[in-house]
Amino acid sequence: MVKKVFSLVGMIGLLLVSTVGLSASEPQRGGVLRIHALDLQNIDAHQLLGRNDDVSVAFQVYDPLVHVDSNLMPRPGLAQSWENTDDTTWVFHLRPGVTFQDGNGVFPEGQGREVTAEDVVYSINRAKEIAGDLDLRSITSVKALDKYTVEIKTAYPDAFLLDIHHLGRLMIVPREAVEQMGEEFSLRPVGSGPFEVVSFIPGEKAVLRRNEDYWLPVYLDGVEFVVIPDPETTRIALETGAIDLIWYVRNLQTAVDLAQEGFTIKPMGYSFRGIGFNMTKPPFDDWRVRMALSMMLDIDSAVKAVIPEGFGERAYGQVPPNVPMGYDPEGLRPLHEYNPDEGLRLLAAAGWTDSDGDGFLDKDGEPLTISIEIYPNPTGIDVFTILVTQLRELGIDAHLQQLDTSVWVDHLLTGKGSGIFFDFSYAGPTGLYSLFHSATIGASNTHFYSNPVVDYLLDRAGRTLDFEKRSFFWKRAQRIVIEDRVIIPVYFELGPAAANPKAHGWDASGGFVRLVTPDHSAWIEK
Amino acid sequence: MTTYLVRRGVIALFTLFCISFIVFAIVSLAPGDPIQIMLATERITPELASRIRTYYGLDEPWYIQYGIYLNHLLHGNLGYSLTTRNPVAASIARCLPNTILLTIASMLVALAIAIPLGTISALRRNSLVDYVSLTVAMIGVSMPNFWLGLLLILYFGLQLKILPVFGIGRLSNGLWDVISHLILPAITLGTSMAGLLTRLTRSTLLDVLTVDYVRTARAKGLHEAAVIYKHVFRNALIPIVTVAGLQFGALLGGAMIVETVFAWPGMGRLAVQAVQQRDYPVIQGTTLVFAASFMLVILLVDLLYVFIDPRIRYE
Repeated sequence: MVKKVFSLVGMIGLLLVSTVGLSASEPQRGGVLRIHALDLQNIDAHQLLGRNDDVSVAFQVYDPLVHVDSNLMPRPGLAQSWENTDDTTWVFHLRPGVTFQDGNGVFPEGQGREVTAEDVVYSINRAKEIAGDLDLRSITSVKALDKYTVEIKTAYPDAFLLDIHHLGRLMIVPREAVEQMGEEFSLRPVGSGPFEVVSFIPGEKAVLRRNEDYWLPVYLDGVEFVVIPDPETTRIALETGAIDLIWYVRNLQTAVDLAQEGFTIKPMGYSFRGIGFNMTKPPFDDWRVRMALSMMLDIDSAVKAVIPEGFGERAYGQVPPNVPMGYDPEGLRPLHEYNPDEGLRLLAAAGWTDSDGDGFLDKDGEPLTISIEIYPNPTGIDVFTILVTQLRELGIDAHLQQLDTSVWVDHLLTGKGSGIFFDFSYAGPTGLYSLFHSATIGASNTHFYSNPVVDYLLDRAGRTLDFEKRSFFWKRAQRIVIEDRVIIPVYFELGPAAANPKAHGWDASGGFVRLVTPDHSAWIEK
Repeated sequence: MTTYLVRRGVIALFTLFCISFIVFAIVSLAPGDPIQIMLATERITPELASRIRTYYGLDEPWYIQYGIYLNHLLHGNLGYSLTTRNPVAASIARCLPNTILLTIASMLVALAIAIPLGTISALRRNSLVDYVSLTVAMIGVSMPNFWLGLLLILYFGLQLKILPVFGIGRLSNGLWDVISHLILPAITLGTSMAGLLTRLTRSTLLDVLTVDYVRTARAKGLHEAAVIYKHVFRNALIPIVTVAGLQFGALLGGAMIVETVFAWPGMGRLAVQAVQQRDYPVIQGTTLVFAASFMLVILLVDLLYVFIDPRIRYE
């Protein structure tokens, strides 16, 4: 728990200057970029099931319909433009001349077929049928209007249709490859992306080579994703040059050390961390108890003690800084106050006092016992250990209970646990809906929280295509969630990526590695 | 011998059936399932979760699920992973040879250390050599695998840069690619097994060294080397082969820690990941394969006794 006092803001800023588009030198052609993966299993475009490493490989092999940039905003990609003819109808115009990879068993050398609207129709229908992890349930019909134009109709105005969990990650596949290859498609797929699959061994590695016919410049000769499950071995592999990029360094101290050694550190993305309550479980069904606990926690001190500067920030809401819609620290900060005396007063009003003089609060002979359930997570455990200690010093019998991840999940989903837990979310734009809409109780709404006003605001936001109006509804919903103290936001953890300083033009924001996009193309300095 | 082999086969099948039921029951009763984990980490929507449950029959009563599983098993189908959708049989077919390779290499390392060390220890009982070898054996048993593995990686991989730090080699890249990737994980695993085998070799040899026929052989003027290798060693082999066989069989289930540290794609990692994610089909498949492998190794060890000791016969 000893935090190294080391300011990295300046260093990160300096290193970020060398990112996309601002590199001091011109891109150089050649070289193979070797990227770390925790596991690789199946790179069928529509069976990724959210496995981040497989998704990272998929982004190199296929083209998504829409490019989502590092600010999580949809941009032209395979679809070079789109418009709404009405609130529930989207018309996408494909980029002509994009072809599927050739030189394989489906498309012989020089005979890569052009990507057409029919391929988009096929891919959407396949993704829906196969039950992958993309949320395409709002789509009621999709059809090709002509060779390069696709019309998609939705059941309702879907504001999130283009985001990274929807069409922003819908990969386009050729029907003939899927039908001809069968199960083999998950190991040697054919797409239209910047790299072709040379070999894919589940659990070991994926070897890709440049697609010479790609519609954007590709500087790398090839890419290798190599599986290394152990974090220490991964670090040594980067230090020995056996790999060039770790796109998610899970241990913050390791990232700090690598930065000091001269490796490039870039943000992968922010994740929300906080304390969550099961709103139906006593004593957390009492707003006064939840509010009191939030006032008794010196969160700033705990975060400062554990999170190195530049690798996270204090959270006041659920929406993290990299999500363009809803991040509202200025609006939410006034709702949080560190005032232990007021917290104790609130608990007393709720009936919790130290009636037996043992130094711990109780009510009707029962102590106020708080057991925060957490899964194995080094940074979270360090921060929460401090928070639990603060509560104990104020007379609350607080503990941190570490559980196996599956048991922790089971307790959250079934409500069997203690009622207070380490809360987290990787979600991008749709996190508020996942965590707080009553429709997701028993699934991702592990707070069992139901507020008709919040439901209404979240539904309105999801159906409002105008960005500013959508953001208003989203922020309003978030504000009510905080006022209700469904969660106590603690920090946003910045997941860092670390790389060989000779590797440029890569991006790991959004939770996946993207090497070639309209914004940048990765290259290695010789 | 034929009757004996048939009898062992029938017992093995019955054992595998019991294991499949016990594993199914335990996994079904354990809290959490892969769909829950995907739901809680927002990888899928509730509607999709419901479809996946129906597709895999996870919403059926447990006895229906077990019946479906047995039916598939009898047709040679181990099912599909719930988290990756890969065929379980294909995953096992990929990992098992890697584990066998590592197991054989580790056992060779262990025997190469244990047999000479244990023999010298027994022959030079209570000497400095004996105490040193016992201490080495103790260190081998006491040292945590992951710690030794990381030390070896740091020294040979990072410091000297003469061996690769992770992964498995391929014959297509040459024999040295395979061997160089095998050295560090085999030493890590073999060292920990060598400790037990060294002490066992020593104590078994000590027992045999004091028996009458050994004294007689020496009295007849046989060369000491002939006494040791022809009379002492062969008669001490049975317990050593038994324990080595048990260790070999256990390793076929995979060595999770070493496989993780060295990124070795073996059965250990596959099985433990499946347990962590509650991936039922993979858990069941790996357990059955491990059980079958273990029983096969024990059978081979039992058959080996016949060659070591001609007095042993199976009717």
